[in-house]
Amino acid sequence: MDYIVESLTRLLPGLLTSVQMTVVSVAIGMVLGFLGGLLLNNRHRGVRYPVIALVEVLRGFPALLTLYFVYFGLPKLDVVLDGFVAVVIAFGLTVAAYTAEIFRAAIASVPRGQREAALSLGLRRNKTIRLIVLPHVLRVAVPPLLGIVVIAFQGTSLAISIGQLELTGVALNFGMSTFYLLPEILMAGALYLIVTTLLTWVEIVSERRAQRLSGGSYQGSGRKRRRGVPKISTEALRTTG
Amino acid sequence: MKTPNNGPSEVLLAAQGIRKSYGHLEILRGIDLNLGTGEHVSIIGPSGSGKSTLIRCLNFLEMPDGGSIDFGGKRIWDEKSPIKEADSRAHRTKVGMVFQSFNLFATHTALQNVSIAQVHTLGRSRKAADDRSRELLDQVGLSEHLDKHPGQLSGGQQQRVAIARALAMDPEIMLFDEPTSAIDPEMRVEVLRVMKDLANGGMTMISVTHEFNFARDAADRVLFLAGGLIVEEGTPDEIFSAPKQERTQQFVNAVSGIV
Ligand SMILES: Nc1ncnc2c1ncn2[C@@H]1O[C@H](COP(=O)(O)OP(=O)(O)O)[C@@H](O)[C@H]1O
Ligand SMILES: [Mg+2]
Repeated sequence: MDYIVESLTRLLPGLLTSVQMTVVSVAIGMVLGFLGGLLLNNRHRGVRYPVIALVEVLRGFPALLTLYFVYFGLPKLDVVLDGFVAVVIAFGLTVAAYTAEIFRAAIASVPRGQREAALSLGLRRNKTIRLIVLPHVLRVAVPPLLGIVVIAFQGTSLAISIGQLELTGVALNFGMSTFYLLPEILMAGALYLIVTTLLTWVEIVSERRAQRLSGGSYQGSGRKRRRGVPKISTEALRTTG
Repeated sequence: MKTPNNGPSEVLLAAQGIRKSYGHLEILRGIDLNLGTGEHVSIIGPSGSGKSTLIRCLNFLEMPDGGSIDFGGKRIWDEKSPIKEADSRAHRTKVGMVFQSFNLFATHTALQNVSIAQVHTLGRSRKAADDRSRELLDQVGLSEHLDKHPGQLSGGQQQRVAIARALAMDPEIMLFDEPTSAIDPEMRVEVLRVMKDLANGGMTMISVTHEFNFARDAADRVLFLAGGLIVEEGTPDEIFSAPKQERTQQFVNAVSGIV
């Protein structure tokens, strides 16, 4: 019992660091990802293709390599970064690559008929985007985005590789230098589990809300509703104006 | 037949020689369509004949390639003078449009669907808009469903919300594009009743429909469109009971199930 309390006082600050890394990298990643999603829906290939290439590269690179590139590679170009900053930039880019596709699909999933209805009601373009498109996009995108948040949260443990100690780092650091490696791993694992379970639960609830958009007796104009998130390489290439 | 209008009325909408192509495919090949205030014209015709394209041209969801459109005695569009964004928006607020696939805003409740453009296009207060929406939704028999989302409503109910949404703009004319085609047959009757009431109440309307009984009861005039042209035009009786063109006869028989 004493060990648990003592371990928690050691691990909780590590958990806080993990959460901070996740929040900042997800914030960076989603802003960039939303922009990417807009660009991937652009009617011009000249806009879409470079974004697709960038996204594919960032998704192809293991997050650890991207982190090394940012932390060790950029100083060669005279850009020296603090460890925490390097982590959130590297993970922010990776998150952006994954969320760009989610946002692309969500933006594309707003039925054309709804935009036409907005037009026929005399709504201005900016109001249509704010009042009709955005609520739809958020509702559709939140569940898969939460999935990315879970992965990003666990991914922050990679930060140990450049000496940034978050939850995993703190646990391993202490465990390796004492006889408590196994219990320390179990304690850290339990903390990860609690956070991811909470996130997953929110994900399921939001998923149900999103499904109501296409659920019930809605009859589209013969166009197929997308299930899940289609893969980028086929779908985004096809988007035409 | 619907309750006839009293005497000749002024022409509200006059479309002359409307042409529209997609690529090399000529969809509309010169359509003339005049509509008096309070008049209800039904358009029938085979699938792919350009019925949707025609009424979408009338509120500029599609841009015609040729011809002219007058509305309320004013030339609002012809091939030489393209319409400005602001003018087409102003025109659309006077034209109510009801789509085959309802196109309700899925993230909004029935009430919000009907109120949103009243607030954001017409500039009504939220309260005034909601009051008007409740009134209209009551009129189409949906006062029990104000707070439901489209996904929780049947096709027939969604279409009635869509009609209320269009009426909320106080349009001068209503366009219906096969409003019951995407609805289960037993749910159509309520939608048709609402449309009949509108027609009899003096609303100026164009309805594209395959519901011949409805057109017989509620239309002043019927146009038969095929191959991008108006093949025949007449009263419901003339078109459905004594069509002059063989092409009309064939179509009417086929749809009515008479071979
Ligand atoms: N945006 C478009 N691009 C290309 N072809 C179109 C488009 N919209 C309609 N068409 C074609 O125009 C023809 C007429 O379509 P439509 O007006 O929808 O006919 P209807 O409503 O009478 O069934 C069809 O052959 C259809 O495939
Ligand atoms: Mg059609």
